[in-house]
This record gives sequence, C-alpha cells and structure tokens, in this order.
Amino acid sequence: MTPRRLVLAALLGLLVTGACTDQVPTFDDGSAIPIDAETVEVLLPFSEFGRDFQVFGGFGSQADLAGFYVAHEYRGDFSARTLIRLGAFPASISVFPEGESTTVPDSAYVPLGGNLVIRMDTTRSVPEEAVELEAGHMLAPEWDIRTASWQAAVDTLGRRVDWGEAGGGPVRSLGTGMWDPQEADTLVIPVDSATVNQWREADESVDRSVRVESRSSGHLLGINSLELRARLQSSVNPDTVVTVVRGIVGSTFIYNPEPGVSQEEIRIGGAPARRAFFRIQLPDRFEEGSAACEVLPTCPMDLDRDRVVYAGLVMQTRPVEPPAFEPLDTLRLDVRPTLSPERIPRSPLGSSVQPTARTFPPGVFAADGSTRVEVPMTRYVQDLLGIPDDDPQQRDEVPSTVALLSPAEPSGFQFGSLFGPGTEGEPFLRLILTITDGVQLP
Amino acid sequence: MTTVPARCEDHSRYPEVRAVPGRWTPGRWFAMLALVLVGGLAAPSGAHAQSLLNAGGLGLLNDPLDARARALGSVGVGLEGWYMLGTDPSAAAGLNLPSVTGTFQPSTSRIEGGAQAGGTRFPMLGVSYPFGRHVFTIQLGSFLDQEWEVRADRTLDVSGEDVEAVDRFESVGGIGQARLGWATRLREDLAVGVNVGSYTGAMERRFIRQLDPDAVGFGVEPFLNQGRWRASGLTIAAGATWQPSSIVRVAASVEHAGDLTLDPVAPTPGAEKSYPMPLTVRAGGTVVLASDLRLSSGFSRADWSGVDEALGGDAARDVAWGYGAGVEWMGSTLLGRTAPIRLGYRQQDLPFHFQGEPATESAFSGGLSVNLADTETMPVARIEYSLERGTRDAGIFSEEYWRSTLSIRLAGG
Repeated sequence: MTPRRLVLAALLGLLVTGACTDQVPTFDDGSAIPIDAETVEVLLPFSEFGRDFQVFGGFGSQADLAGFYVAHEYRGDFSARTLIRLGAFPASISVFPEGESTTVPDSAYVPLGGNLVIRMDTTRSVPEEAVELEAGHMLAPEWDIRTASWQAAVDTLGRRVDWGEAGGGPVRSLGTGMWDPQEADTLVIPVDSATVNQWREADESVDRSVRVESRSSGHLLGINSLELRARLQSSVNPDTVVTVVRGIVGSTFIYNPEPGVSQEEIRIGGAPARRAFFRIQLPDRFEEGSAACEVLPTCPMDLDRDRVVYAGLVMQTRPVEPPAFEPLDTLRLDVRPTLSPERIPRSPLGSSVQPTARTFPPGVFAADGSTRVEVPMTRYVQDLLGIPDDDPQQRDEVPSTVALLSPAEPSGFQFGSLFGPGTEGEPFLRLILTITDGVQLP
Repeated sequence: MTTVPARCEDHSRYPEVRAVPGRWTPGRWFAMLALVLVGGLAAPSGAHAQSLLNAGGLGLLNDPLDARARALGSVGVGLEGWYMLGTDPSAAAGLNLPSVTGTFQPSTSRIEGGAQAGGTRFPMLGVSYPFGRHVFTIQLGSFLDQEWEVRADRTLDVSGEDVEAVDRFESVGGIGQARLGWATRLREDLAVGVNVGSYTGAMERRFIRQLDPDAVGFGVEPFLNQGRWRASGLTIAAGATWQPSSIVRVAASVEHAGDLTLDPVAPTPGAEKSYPMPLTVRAGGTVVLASDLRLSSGFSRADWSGVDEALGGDAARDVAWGYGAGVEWMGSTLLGRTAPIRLGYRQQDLPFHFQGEPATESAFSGGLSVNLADTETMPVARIEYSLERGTRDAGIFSEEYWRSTLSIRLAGG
C-alpha cells in the first residue's frame, strides 16, 4: 500500500470509528427542565372501578394434594379423616417347594394378617404429646376419590350419594395405635387375617378401603403415606411366610365443617380451591366533586393511560373462619384475567397481571389482626385504559374481568380470607398519576 | 485580466482539465466515492451536539462549513479557489468537474468546573455537476443542534410521603438545510450563484420521570411524555465572487429565510409553530500576501429579532455578528504533495440566549490539507483537516471545546 493510500485508509478509519462516540451534554439542574410535572396518588374505592363481584369454590380436589390430614375437634369442631384404597393382592406368590431349588407360583396362599404402616408428616404437624389414631375398614359400597366429602361419598355432576354415616362411615374398626412423635414418625396398626383375606378376595379397590381418623382432640396431623404389609403363608411350603406390601391406589381426605364461600369475602386457596371474580371498569375521567379531585392539580381530568405510572389493587386480610382453616404455610395470591367471562367460574384464565405472585406469610390471617396487601397491576391497568371505546377487538384482547386465586390449586385445605366489596376493609385501587401539560416547543 | 501563476491549489485557473489515463480511472473515482458514502452512512445521521448551549432557544447555531473554512476562521464566504459551501453560492462556479464533498466533525466540550460532553456531526455533504458554463449543486448542511439533556434527582411529596424520583428531559435531533444551487461565471473575474433550500430534520423532546419502586410499589412504570416536530421552511441565498486583481478576491452573499415551521408529528398534540429566521449577510475576501501565502477574512450579520419575539422576548439577540480571519501557507508538502497549512480565528455571536444571557463563541483554529490523488493539472481527491480550540460564554457560564473537522473533496475541487 502506498503512503498516500495508507493516509487515506487511516483517515477514513478515523471517520468511521470516530462517528460512533456520543456524549450528550447533560445538566443536573432540575430547573432547566422546561415542563411542570406533578405526581399524585389517587385511591379509587371499589364501587368506582369494580363490578360483578362473585366468589366460587370447587376448583380442584383434596385428592390432588400430596398428603392427607386427620383431626378431631381441632381449633373448635374441625375434624378430618383420611380415606385410602389399597392396591390388589398378587394372584400368586413365588415359593421354593421343600427340597427344591427353583420357585413355583403359589396362588393358594393363606393370609395370616398384616400391619397398616402409617408414616406421619412431622414437618406439617408435631403434637407435643402422644396421639391415638384409629383405622377402619370402610363398608360403603362406593365412594369417589375426587368428589368425596364429609357428607357425600359421591358428588359428581347430577349424582350424589351420601355416606351411610357422615364422615366416611360406616366402618369396621381394624384397631387403634398410639403415635408418639418423640419416639418415631411411623405408626403401626395390626390387621387381622380375616380382613386381609377379605381384601385379597376383593375384586374392586373400593372394597379395600381404609379410613384413618384421630381419636385425640385438638390436633391436626399430617400423613405422608400409608401401606399394608401383609403376611402370606405358602400353601406349597407351609414353612414359608411371605410379606407383600400393598400401597395406595387412590386417596383423599374429608373434613367437617365445610366453610363454603361468602359473597362478602374474598377467599383464595383451599381444597377444593376458591376464586373471586370481578370486572374492572375504570372511569374515563375524574369529575369535579369526586374524591380524586381533591388531590389532582386540575379537574375534571381524563384518566389517560399515559398518566398512570403505577396501579395496585389494595386489599385487607381478615381472620379466617373457621380458624382451623387458617393457613399454616405461605399462601400465594395471583390475579389473572378471565378469557371468557361468560363462562365464569369455568372460564380459562390468562397470564398473571403481576410480575410475581403475592405471598402471604403464615399468621396474616390470624384472628388478632389485619394486614394490608397490594397487588401491582400497572401494565394491566394501562392496557385497559389504552382500549379505544370503539374497538371491540382490542377489548377482547384485554379482558376486563379478573380472577383472584392461588397460583397452585389446591396447595392445602387452608385458605386465605380478605375483605370483600361493601365491607369495612373493601378493596380499593391505588393509582399513582403523573400529570403534565405535555412537552411543548420552545 | 491577469492570472496568477498556476498552482496545484489554484486549479480554478485552468480552463481545461484532462484526466491522466492509468492514474485516475473512473473505477478509482467511484471506489473513492463509495468509501466516502460508507463513511457517511456509518456516521450518525442528523447532527449530534456537544454543547450545553444547545438548550438555548432553538438550539446551537452550527454553520455548514468544511474543514478549510473552519481552519481559516471563515464566516463561510470569500475563500481562495472554488468550492461548495451553502453560505457562498457563487463559490461553486469554477467547479468544472463533477465533485463530491463530505465533512465529518467530532468534538468535545468541557463546562467550566463541570462534566464533559462530546459528539459527532456531519455538517455538510455536497455534490456538484457542471453543465457548460453552469454548475449545479446539491447540498445538505447543518443549521441548529438541539441535542441536550437534563437529569435531576428529586424528592416528591406524594400524599404526604416522600418519594424519590429521577426526572430526565431529553432533546434529540437537529435542524439542517437541503439546498439546490446554481452558479456560473459571468466573466473571468466575476461569478454569481443562487441556492434555494428547505429546512430538514426534526426536533424531538421527551420528559421521563422514574419513581422509586421501594417508595411507590413494585412494577412502577416510568412516566413518558414526548413530542416530535418536523422542520420545514424555505431558504434562498444569492452571492457573487469578484476577483478584481490577481491578488484580491472578494465575495458576498445574502441569505433570506422564511419561517422555520415545526409541525407536530402524530400523535404529538398541538398546532404547528413558526419562527421567523434571520436575513443573513456575509462578506469576505482573500488577499495574496506572497506567492504561497494568503490572508482571508470576513464578517456576517444576522437579524434574529423576529425569532426573539416568537420565543417570548429576551431569548435571542436582535443582531448576531460574526467575524473571522486566517492565513494559508501553501509552501509545505506532505508525502510529496502540496499540503497547505492554515491558521485562523473566528468569533460568532450565538443567536439564542443561554440562561437569560447572550452567548458568544470564539475559537482559534488551525489545519492542513493533503492532495491524495490528482491529475496533471488539479487535485481530484483531497483531505482537509482543522482543529479548533474555543470557548462559548454566556454571562457567568463558560465552556471550552475542541472541535475537529475532516472534509473529503473528490474531483472538481
């Protein structure tokens, strides 16, 4: 390359690379900003933005939970019982005939008895004293795992069959056992040979049903798992006794009382879970005389999307009734738009309006207080305000009805409770608005 | 009429120019042009400012001068030779080959006791095409730089609670001029030229307020209020260059501008706004002090009183004066080519007040140029460079700046 071309290349390179630098002259004196801006907080009572408030239950089932509960007169008159179905027995066992070295199937084995082994959940509940549990063989001819409740063995759509005795009865007692959490995390209840034989001969799992209940008052006990360890004597070689383990093929737990839902209360969580629905209809403008005008720089003033920098749904927790349903673990709250409001409560739901689900620590639903919680929903409110009145298609894209729910349904039989519309601590919408006259020319 | 001895730098004195086959082919010419265009495209489009005075009025005046004019402290008229400058319409009359000129201008400013700012401008791009005795030009040039920003931390009272906030105001963009020109030599010693143009570019302003999420709530969004206005308006300039003797060259131009109109671009609300632009008179000349030494000088006068009224008064000067002078020594060489060295000084009243005070810009400058390729009789590719060290003062405010300017002129120059 000749020197002249070298110089040219260097200068053009300088031109190209130098063009990439830019450092904008910046003042730090706020008075140089040629625009007046005011930021205010407006609190909208529920009556000014909420419509069609409804609460529904029945989402999911206790059967979906990973564990079970038993309780007797816990925090009042709350009782819970665990219902399980055991798996079928093997058609035969393999044994060595006397003097032989190869096994043969033995389908004529004789049950000698067994043990129900119950593994307690020592993380969810640890009583300070030994408690007594009772197991019983359920005599009900049928019960539905997903819909069974304290009163009904079957409660599917259009069909309801009550228990012979409320609470999963009647049962034939298999025995009782004491569980001392200081000694072990497992409770063993012996089962006689006649019952084991009955279960062996049963064709349907419903005929191998077991109910577990607590006979000690005032405790809520969690159960992780339950299994039957049956001892079977070989008919081929009577000296051989084989132990087989039958696990659970279906389970649920039932409880009483059933708190249901209240239209004056927002309930989230539970098993089955509850959800609250309402429609958001924001005002187009703040009219003179409204509470908002007391803080706004001018009134009337349009509620424009661009002015809203923050929106949060503020609610107050309230004590859970009955108290046995007070969450003992963290509960989370989600707010999601309903995609087909006409199909409420079975409407599909959209994505959460908040960046992360709101978390309630244990204790906020206790009887001795109320906690304010706020669900940020700024972008959702901005989207609602951005819908032109004459564009129904966009209205469909941003559904205005929202559901308040637990993001995992069900996560426990306990639920959270918040004051509903029309009550002293009803929800309100907290808006932070920034208002200017707009950017002007010099 | 007498003629001065022919010099590489004084190519205008050659009535005929013939390219030398093998040394400068059309392929090379277009390759060079492509390089310049690539460089131009790589540079940021629009003018990027580097002064806090951009915040005054409609922005900081940025004359569309090339590196040679900057180095000589010129007001943009009356320099030796033939060249393209929007401020000197008749100076293109002697460009008897098609030519292209591009100017690139990085600069930095430092406020007294404050922060540094810097940026890059592309203040001039021009193309000329001779047709018979006529030369037609197309030029894009800078006019007003409007890039500046304010950032302020505030504590707001929101329903009785203190809320920390950061306010930011950004002004982006700039206004330039696009001109179509015509120039011709009426006589050997007299050239005239006219150009008509339009304001181009846009002004964009935005205000952003970011509240502290810890004080307001998670998910608080920044408040954004912005507007964009497109610039329009006609300008017309006319000028003449007279060379009464071999050692004197004088030129003058008058530029009349209509209103600069800023139209809001949807969805920016509001109506258009117009600002009367000044009638600007420029005059200057060059004297040959020795065979390789030139002295040039000039002045300008612009009446901005109309825009002052449109801005509400006390926002602009009534009359802004500018003057400058410089010397050019052509005895030096670089890489075996003539490489003129230039020194100059210029002072310019800035039209818009800054913080209520009239502002002035002054700078000492120096520079040189290198002929990269040439025919036997004239340079066809030239790089010119200038460096200015100046100050801008407005009352107690003062900032110092370095401004470098690089121009590339291909053919015809």
